[in-house]
Amino acid sequence: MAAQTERPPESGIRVTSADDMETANDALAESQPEMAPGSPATYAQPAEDDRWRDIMAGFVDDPRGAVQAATDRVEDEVSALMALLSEHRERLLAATSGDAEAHTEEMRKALLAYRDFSGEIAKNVRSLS
Amino acid sequence: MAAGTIALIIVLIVVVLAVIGTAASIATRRRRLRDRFGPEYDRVAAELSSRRLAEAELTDRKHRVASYELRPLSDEACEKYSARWSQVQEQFVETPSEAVGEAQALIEAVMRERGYPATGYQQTLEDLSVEHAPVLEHYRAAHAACEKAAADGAGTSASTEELREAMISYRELFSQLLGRAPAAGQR
Repeated sequence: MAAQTERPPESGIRVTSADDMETANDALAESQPEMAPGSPATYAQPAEDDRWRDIMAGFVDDPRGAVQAATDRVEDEVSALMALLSEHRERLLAATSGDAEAHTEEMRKALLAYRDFSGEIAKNVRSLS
Repeated sequence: MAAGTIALIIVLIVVVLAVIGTAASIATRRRRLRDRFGPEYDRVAAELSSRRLAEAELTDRKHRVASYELRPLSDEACEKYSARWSQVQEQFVETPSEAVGEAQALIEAVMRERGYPATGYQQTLEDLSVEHAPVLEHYRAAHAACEKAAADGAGTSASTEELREAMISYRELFSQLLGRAPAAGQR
């Protein structure tokens, strides 16, 4: 890993990321309730406080270990998220039967949700770089 | 044969020719109006229950629109309106009803710039039928959807799909008024 960048404790990057991911995930879930956590996709709620608190607690004794654990965690979440997005798109595009009018509206809302979601991702990427 | 009889025959021939001639010119005019107005011809004829009255009405419209002295848009104006259309089409995803309203307003603006008075809906419809009869049905449908959307809250709002179709209909008319297709959203 590259040289350790000193980050002041108040910046709380990881917490911010988790919160923003949660906001973004909520936005996606709100518009597409069937894709909320607990649905077939394996994406789990990020800020599961206990697991993150363990990682945070470990920092004092082993900063590198904590960073490793944190990034592993986020990588898993991102993989699960990609699976979720794939599944979601399949479902949206595959729907051929049923109410065409309602489906157009569903697709419109999904489009907005994706754009907002993309915005959240961009924010997070900026905060990490 | 007596001169009187010959004269009578000549007069009869002239009368018959005149009748045939008149019938032919009526038929020609009818065919021309049908070609120009298409389904609008049939619609007006049905409404007025008379082809003769319909033809009078349509001929009136033709003269009225000719008096406007329509002019094409400048290249600059075309660019401007095309760009504005793209914006409205993008806006559709966020606010479908508003976008359709904007589209209608844009069409009215283009019409006025070309020389149409574009006042009330009914007259606008009639004016458009002269040069743009093929897209008239589109315009009607789009306008109906627009009205439905405006009446939102009275229990009969237009669905997103109806509004999407209205956008497409409006765009058809828009591109005809411009004389070319506006820059579409699809890339």
